[in-house]
Amino acid sequence: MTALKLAVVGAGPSAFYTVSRILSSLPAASARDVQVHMYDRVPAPHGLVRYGVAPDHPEVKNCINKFDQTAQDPRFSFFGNVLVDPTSTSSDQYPNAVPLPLTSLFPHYTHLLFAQGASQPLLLPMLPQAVAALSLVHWYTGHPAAPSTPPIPIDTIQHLTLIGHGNVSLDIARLLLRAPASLEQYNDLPRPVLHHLEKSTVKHVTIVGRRAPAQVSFTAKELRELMSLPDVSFEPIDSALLNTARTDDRLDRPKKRILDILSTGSKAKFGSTDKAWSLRFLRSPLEWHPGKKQLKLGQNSLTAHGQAEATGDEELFGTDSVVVSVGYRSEPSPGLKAWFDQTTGRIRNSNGRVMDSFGRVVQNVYASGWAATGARGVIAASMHSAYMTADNLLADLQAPVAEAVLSPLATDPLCGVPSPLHAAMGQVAGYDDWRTRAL
Amino acid sequence: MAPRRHTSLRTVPAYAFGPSRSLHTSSVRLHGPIERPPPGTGIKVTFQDSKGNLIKTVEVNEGDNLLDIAHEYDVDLEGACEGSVACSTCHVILRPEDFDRLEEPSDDENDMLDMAFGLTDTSRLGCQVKMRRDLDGLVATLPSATRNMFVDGKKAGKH
Ligand SMILES: Cc1cc2nc3c(=O)[nH]c(=O)nc-3n(C[C@H](O)[C@H](O)[C@H](O)COP(=O)(O)OP(=O)(O)OC[C@H]3O[C@@H](n4cnc5c(N)ncnc54)[C@H](O)[C@@H]3O)c2cc1C
Ligand code: FES
Repeated sequence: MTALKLAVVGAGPSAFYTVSRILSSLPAASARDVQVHMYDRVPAPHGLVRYGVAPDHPEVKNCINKFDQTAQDPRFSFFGNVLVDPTSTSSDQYPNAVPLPLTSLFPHYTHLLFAQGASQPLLLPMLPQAVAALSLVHWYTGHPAAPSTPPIPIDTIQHLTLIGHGNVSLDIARLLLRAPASLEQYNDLPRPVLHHLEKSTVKHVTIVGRRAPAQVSFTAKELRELMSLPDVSFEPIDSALLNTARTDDRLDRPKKRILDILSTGSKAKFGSTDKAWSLRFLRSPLEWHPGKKQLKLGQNSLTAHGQAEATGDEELFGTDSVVVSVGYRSEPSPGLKAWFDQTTGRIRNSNGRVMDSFGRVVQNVYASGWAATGARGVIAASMHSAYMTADNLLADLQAPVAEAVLSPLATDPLCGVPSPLHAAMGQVAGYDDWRTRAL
Repeated sequence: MAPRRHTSLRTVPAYAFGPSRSLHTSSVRLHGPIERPPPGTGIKVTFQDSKGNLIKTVEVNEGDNLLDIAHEYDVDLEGACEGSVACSTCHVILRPEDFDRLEEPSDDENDMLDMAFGLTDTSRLGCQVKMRRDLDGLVATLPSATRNMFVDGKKAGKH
């Protein structure tokens, strides 16, 4: 069998699930011929499981136990604090990371897996002064590139507007609205973050979306959780809006259940609590003047295909801060050029096999998780993508894809890691380093 | 080719990256190996793949859940959140007659099932299905693992 020396860019769940499937499918006796080197630009592994999943959802992070097992495999090595294929933006964000050009990996590996996720938040050009939700997430998860103070002045503002009807908006709303005392139990919440939350003056969070109740992207679990908070209430939704949503015969079970939760509303009666939240539908932000504390919203109607269409009507909406959470794309770094699809913002692939701009599979180059699928879906979705990629890589080891474009990687790889790393050993973090030393 | 492992890289000198913090995973329930009953005395459970091919039939004790059972007998069922009803990776599809004999799934379980791939009317989270004597002979189907979900361009599917 062909020897496998695999370089993995990124150490999030899709990287680990891909590698765990590959290693468990190849006999351990293959140790001499199989090696996996996993690189991440932050010192600690696990990607968004560590720096994305909300600190009050520790059970979601149990998948780390499986990743730990994979990391113990003698064929596996982790290199943290290594920025693969740097750009000017990422070099600014990760000044302490060791830069490693993508091409420097080629002579050292037979296979390459892109699993670097989709880390660039989509911004709204009409709201240049709004804050990206990801910077808030990075702050409350203690991401190494985040500042130590919250990116919005939560100790002075009363009303926050989030743009985007997704789970990240619900996470942010929940963390800002739930009683800080109830957060103390979560060890993953950095204590300085907790202290800032204790001083928060935020009383109301409004989440604005361009479409209607049946088109939301958040999930029932997160919605129910927010509805169940004891001292937070939800402003009831206009029943006409809900009734219209219900008439759509394309509704699947998850959507129907979300509409049910929306119509039941919060456990606490609206108005009976100090803190509250609301959802606004069919609104697109047009302009935001932090000085005037006014957000201009354009009204939309829904087309027959469920798309938002501007009606031309506008309204002003008073708010103290605006945070945007409308999705992510992967970073088009220079080495990815031939394989990156600018339209979709991810790496072009067919079931995990990376393709060039002509749609031809590139031998021995793979992608999984959000880098391959775009930024959608929970960890389970990333896992499925990862397993599909792993299965295809394993199949290709036996019988390479006919018609594939020749790989830029080596058939007889140099041993060890690329030379730019040799001089920077002291900066590279090992898999368990975050447990034992200040990262 | 015999690439050497560079173990020296893993024991790097201390380097300060920022504030120290630790990350904990909740250990709501650890995967303790469940006990296998003496042959011929247990409740029978059958696992099959999405095409209906038999994976295996095993014997288990009352109270064991389908996720633990799958792990004990090396059936490929994921449990990313380790039974905390927070992941949907332990999704199994039951026969209507088995499904009806179980208590209704809780709201929390249904919320997670809503995110499962290939959700059906008789889907359950394996970690939430506890075996009982009267469920003897239960059949759990693993949902299809191969999906051509994400394909760019025209050359879709298998090569
Ligand atoms: C805020 C937020 C909260 C979420 N909460 C949940 C939840 O509660 N439950 C759930 O199931 N799913 C949740 N998700 C979704 C889940 O996180 C994703 O499905 C999953 O993390 C995607 O995995 P991935 O490995 O593809 O990418 P990531 O997890 O993003 O991992 C990518 C890794 O690559 C590294 N990297 C990036 N670029 C480079 C580079 N140039 N060089 C080296 N390393 C690089 C990054 O540092 C990162 O560690 C959440 C997502 C977000 C954004
Ligand atoms: S193991 Fe996560 S929901 Fe069952």
